[in-house]
Amino acid sequence: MATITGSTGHDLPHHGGGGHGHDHDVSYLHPKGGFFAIVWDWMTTVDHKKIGVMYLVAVLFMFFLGGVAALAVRLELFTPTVIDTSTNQVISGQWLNIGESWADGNNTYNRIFTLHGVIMVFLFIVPSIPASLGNFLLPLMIGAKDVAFPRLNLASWYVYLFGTIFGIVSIIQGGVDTGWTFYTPYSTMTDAEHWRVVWMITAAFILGFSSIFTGLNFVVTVHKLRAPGMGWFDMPLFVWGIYATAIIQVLATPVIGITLLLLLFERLFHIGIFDPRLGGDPVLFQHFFWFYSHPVVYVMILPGFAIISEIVTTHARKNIFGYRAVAFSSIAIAGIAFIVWGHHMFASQGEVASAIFSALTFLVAIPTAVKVFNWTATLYKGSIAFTAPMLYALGFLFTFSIGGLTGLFLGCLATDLHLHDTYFIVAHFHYVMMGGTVIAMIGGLHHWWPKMFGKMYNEFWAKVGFFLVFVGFNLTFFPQFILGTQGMPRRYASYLEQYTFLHQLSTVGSWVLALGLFTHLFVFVQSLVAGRKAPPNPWGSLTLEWTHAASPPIEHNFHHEPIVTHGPYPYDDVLPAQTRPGEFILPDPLPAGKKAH
Amino acid sequence: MAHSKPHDPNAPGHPSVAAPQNGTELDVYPAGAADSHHHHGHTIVPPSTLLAVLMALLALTVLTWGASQVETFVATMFNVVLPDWVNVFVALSIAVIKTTLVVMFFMQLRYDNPLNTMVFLFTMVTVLFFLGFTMIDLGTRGTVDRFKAAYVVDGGTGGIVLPSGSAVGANTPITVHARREAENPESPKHQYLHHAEEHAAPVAAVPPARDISQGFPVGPYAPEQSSPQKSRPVRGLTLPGLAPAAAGGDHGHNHH
Amino acid sequence: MATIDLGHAATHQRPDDPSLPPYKRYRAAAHYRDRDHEFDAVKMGVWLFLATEILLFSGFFVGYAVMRMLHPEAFRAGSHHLDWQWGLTNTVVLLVSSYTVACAVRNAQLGQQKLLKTNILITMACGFVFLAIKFIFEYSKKYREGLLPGWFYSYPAAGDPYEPMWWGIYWGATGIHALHVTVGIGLFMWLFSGALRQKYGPEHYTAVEGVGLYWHIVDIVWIFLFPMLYLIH
Repeated sequence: MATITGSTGHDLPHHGGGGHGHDHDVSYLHPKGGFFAIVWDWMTTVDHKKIGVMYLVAVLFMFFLGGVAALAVRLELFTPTVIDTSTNQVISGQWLNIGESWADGNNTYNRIFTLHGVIMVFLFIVPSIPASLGNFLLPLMIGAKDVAFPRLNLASWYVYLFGTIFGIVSIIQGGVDTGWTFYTPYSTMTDAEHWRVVWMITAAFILGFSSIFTGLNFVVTVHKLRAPGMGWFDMPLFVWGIYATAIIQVLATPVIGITLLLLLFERLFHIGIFDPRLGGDPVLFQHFFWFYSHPVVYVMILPGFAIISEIVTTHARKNIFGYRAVAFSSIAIAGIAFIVWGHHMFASQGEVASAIFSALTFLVAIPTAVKVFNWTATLYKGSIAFTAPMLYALGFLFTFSIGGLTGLFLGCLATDLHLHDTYFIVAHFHYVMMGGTVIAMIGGLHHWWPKMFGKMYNEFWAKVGFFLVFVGFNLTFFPQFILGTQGMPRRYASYLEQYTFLHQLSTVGSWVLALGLFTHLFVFVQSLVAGRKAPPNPWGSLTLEWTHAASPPIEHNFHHEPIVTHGPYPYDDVLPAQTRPGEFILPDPLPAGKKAH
Repeated sequence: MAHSKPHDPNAPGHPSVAAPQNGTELDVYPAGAADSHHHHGHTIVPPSTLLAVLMALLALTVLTWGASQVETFVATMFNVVLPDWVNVFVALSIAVIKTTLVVMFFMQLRYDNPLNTMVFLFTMVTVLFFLGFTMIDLGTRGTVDRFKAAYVVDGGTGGIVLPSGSAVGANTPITVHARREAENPESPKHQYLHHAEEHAAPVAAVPPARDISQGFPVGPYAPEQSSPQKSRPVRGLTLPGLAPAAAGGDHGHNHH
Repeated sequence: MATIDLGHAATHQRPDDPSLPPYKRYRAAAHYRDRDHEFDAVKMGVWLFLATEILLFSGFFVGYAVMRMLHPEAFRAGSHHLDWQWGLTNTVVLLVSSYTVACAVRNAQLGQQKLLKTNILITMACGFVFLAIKFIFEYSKKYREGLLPGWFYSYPAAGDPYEPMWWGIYWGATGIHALHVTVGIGLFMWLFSGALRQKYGPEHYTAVEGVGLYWHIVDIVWIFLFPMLYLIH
């Protein structure tokens, strides 16, 4: 490990090299002909980088749609609805009423929060990091030319689109109000004269295949396509996180497939397995559903962990503290994921199972805490650069810790029965999903943006965006913890007047949060249009995608298959030879006139 | 095998690559990347092995059928009622043995990269988690609070409109409804059955409708009573005016 | 035991010689080191896919276990309507087809083109026989008698009020299994067309191996479904 001698940019295109000017020398973003040729090229590409970018565009669009629904939900909750009890007419405070009566407004609210949940879970957060950043980076980080099954990878994206079409059909027909969990008997009884629930279930069913394809591809890629010399413990921790995620995707997603299939049978043919009128058990559906949907919570958060490990080491210029502990904790979380699902059902299942699941749930805290402690220890005495990605990593440590620790309250049976189905739950999982995954994803996007698109972003505005997002996020969701403990139930379109102040804080926070997210959109668009050209390794990172690939990478990723002789983060060994990130700008390796695009 | 990918370890681009020891290309594939190099070629399974496995599988198939007959046999010959789980245990054990044979020899896991065996075993462990924890819950409902083992009216709370268009009244099981439909001369079902009898269609052998007002006929075993361990009663009718499940039906011969 | 190695075959043959059969000319995709590497990766991919198949069917097995625990009488009553003779016949049919597909892999490994085609055809035929028995002697009879899932149940002499749910599980599990058999037949047709063009041989038989593995899993599911559905007393 000590043999490393400043290794950045070595394998980049050499001047006058033999392959110069040939196709495999140019950036993957290099346009191939006219407009239609470019479109055709992207639509039929099997290049993991292009598929990653296509996924990125798709999931960010879905994030936008889900965000609009979230803003609508918060708007409705800005004031309590006041009705005239004698006529049942709304006097004031109903913002979303698409219809005439009070009930119409409430129905609209139900449909919009379901829309928010379905879009954010199935269309955004499950594919978010693995399918976009993971697709782009995984082969680069392990020194491979592509993922194991490139065509399956493209199929995954098309299956994602195909599933989305069913979701859109359902929304056009009026949307569903079952909640994203599709609990029976709600999902088998409501809207009996419409097909929209069927379409939405079909959409989720199809999207599962997209997730399976991605996961299967990644597992095989990590096992079979690592560059020569890259042992399991030479892999960057991002790869470990994505690998653990992929295992869950392969082992858990088929169960949601069969669950939704049985749900379709139940709704269309009333086969009875979830219907007490025929001897079935609606709680059995919850078991089936959460057997997938709890592991999938870790599909959402493990890639976030993966990103934070990379950002913390690179931007603190320090080897990760306890590499193996962090790596194994990812695998441990993936394993424990399969035996704790019952903690979503403390209020519905029997007490014996609840007690067992509660005890097992606390196990999750151990590997998770290992990670948080190790990141903190990595920061200790590191030379921390407060770049936008690092700010996001620090923000993540703060918000995710709150999200994780409140999870312990909810894993405890007695507290959970008090807090079940209140805003405390809503705040908890938003602190984990949004404060964990989304914040990590935005941080990761900034970190790898120069690599993906070959352009630097505006550091100042990115930091402004971070502060808006961080303040807005906490302003939105922290009051909801208090609301929950005070008894505000979730999924209600209105509330008692005593909750007004906290709800309004939350709604104002959502506006600040939206402003922050739009700032980032502006930063990214500005970077694409007018960004400074990115050097191959602006952060002085030591993983393969920075040291051995151009920015943006060439079509086949590397000129030569990299040979790995050291672990991913030997910053302690190379630090003296290098400078701090931000100052670490290498000369442009591409000669003039050969710029990609 | 790395010959096909020539790379120059002395190129300036490579961070001080250690020269391959002993000059073998395998030295640059240590640890993990050697995953795909552990195998020793692909085994060609000899035909005698394949045939022997097939014979074993067929024998076990006959055995699993035979085992299922033993229960009936000892019940009639020796008046010994084997508990339910014996049948299940024997049948599932044989199925597991058959699966092991198929997986080891036909699917070649015995000769294959152990990684694929790991994939298979991890899958099985996942299935067992799924099965085990779900069964724990469904089997222990109401152990603490009896209300969790809610008593749901048999055959349901009614109010169903069937796809055929006929409505099932409140508290009527679909099975009872089906019988009434068959007995009602005006119902399409009755006409269909009648028609079938006349033309000796394959449904001619429909058993006569049984009177289930005294409860459903049960097997040759002592009837289980509704148990708080279970979220549903095992059997029994609560139709208005009908008695609850009769203790011990008489083997399904109680029709008129 | 005899073994073959795809990787070395790649270096000894001249892959571009058009007089060679297609399987000798096969080249691995560019991101693999050689054919052996690709074969290993694809096989692991197939095994992971089989894992998803097992977990898909596990939904039916868990549903079956829970519902049988709650309503043993309904399962007993429903099972009495099934013909164990046909179930047993179908088990034998599938076991034989599993054997022939294992032989087909061996034929491909040894380059026995004629036997390979024969074994693929026998396997495909077994798939058709299975479906024929299922549909002609079982499904259609149950359909005519009204032994249908849930609300579609119209058999006049039920043995237990919860029998309609048993039929839901029966039709669901065997239906999804029959769907897999149908897909398998399609895959064997594809294999056969490849075998006609000599695409599979000692240097390249990945597709035969993969489809074979899939077919074995379909067989294994039936190995469990047969006693679970037909042999309850």
